[in-house]
Amino acid sequence: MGCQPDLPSSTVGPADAKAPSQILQNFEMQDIHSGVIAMKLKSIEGRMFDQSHIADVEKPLVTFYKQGKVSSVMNAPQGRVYMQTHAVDAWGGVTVVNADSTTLTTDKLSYDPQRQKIISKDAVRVEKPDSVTDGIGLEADPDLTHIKMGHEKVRMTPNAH
Amino acid sequence: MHTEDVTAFAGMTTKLLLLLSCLSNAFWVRAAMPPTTASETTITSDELEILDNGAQTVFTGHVVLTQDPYQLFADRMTQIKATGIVEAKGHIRGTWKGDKGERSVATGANARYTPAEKVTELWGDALLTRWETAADTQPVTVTADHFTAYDQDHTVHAQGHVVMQQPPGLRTLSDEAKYDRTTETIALWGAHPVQVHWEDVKGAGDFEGERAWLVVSPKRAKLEHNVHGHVVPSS
Repeated sequence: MGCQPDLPSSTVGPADAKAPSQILQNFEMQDIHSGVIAMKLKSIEGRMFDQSHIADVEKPLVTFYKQGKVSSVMNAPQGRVYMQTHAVDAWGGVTVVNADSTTLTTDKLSYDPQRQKIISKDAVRVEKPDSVTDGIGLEADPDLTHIKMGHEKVRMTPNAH
Repeated sequence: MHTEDVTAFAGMTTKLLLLLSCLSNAFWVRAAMPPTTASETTITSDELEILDNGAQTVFTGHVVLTQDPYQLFADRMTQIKATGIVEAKGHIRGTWKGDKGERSVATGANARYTPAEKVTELWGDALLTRWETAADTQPVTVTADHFTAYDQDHTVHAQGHVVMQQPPGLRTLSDEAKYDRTTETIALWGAHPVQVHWEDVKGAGDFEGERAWLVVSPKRAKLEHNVHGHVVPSS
């Protein structure tokens, strides 16, 4: 895995432990496995906390890749990046849209870079052209081709098959 | 060889036809079919797994499929997108409720719907039950080793240990039975003789024949080929 922050401008934060060590504008991070990009995160601002190796990011835009091609895109109002593992937490109204326009929405979502899975323990909704599925808890490939969901209810759209 | 009318037996035919038509409606696999009405189809379960971008969908644990007026319960349900084949396993219970309180229930261990051939199968302790009204306490039941409903030719085939009965005293046993919705007839036959038993206040009767035919309208039933039996009037 590799981390390649793109730092056009940066601000060194106060020494206070509760304050960020640095505030980075146009924060960018890539998650690379065996030389192949798996995920790219962009944010208008990243507040880095060096001691805890985390960065809180504003409006993160996460692009997932499969075999080098974009497979889905995640948006959220807030996020947190774990700089050592490249794990990502996102919250506040998360959406993931794949190439087939399948859309996942949930309040909180995590990306596990080791397993390359997205995970939520909260209420989730998956919308497809022919169905809407609500459930509690989800584990899925970032491109939403393989989804496991708990306690779900699938509503088939009439005459959409 | 002679033919013996078994008119008492014919009384259950209408219920039986409705019951078998319940199976042919394939209500337990409506999720795989384009809905024929605007009613919404929903499926709930403990866990859903979508594989290969929907190539296979697996519902596990307390699966409930609802499309009014049908409902299906099962332990597990799987759909293959390429073929459309839906399989259900474990504690299958399909129900249908009519506007006037009539209802039908189909239970079994395994079920399969093959959309290309429009064939529905139910097997493993398979039982069909039909109540004519909400207050009906004497439903018609049919058990068989294997039920197969052919939507295209409007027939339902029951194979192996086919038993149709309606309390208090109507019962048939046969190796096979076939219901034809177009002609509204049920044929009973098999390697073993078809057996018909009935009881009422007038007495009891037992008949055997190589084949039996049941017709709904006009209500009529007959046994054919090597028919024999006896009637015991009430004393």
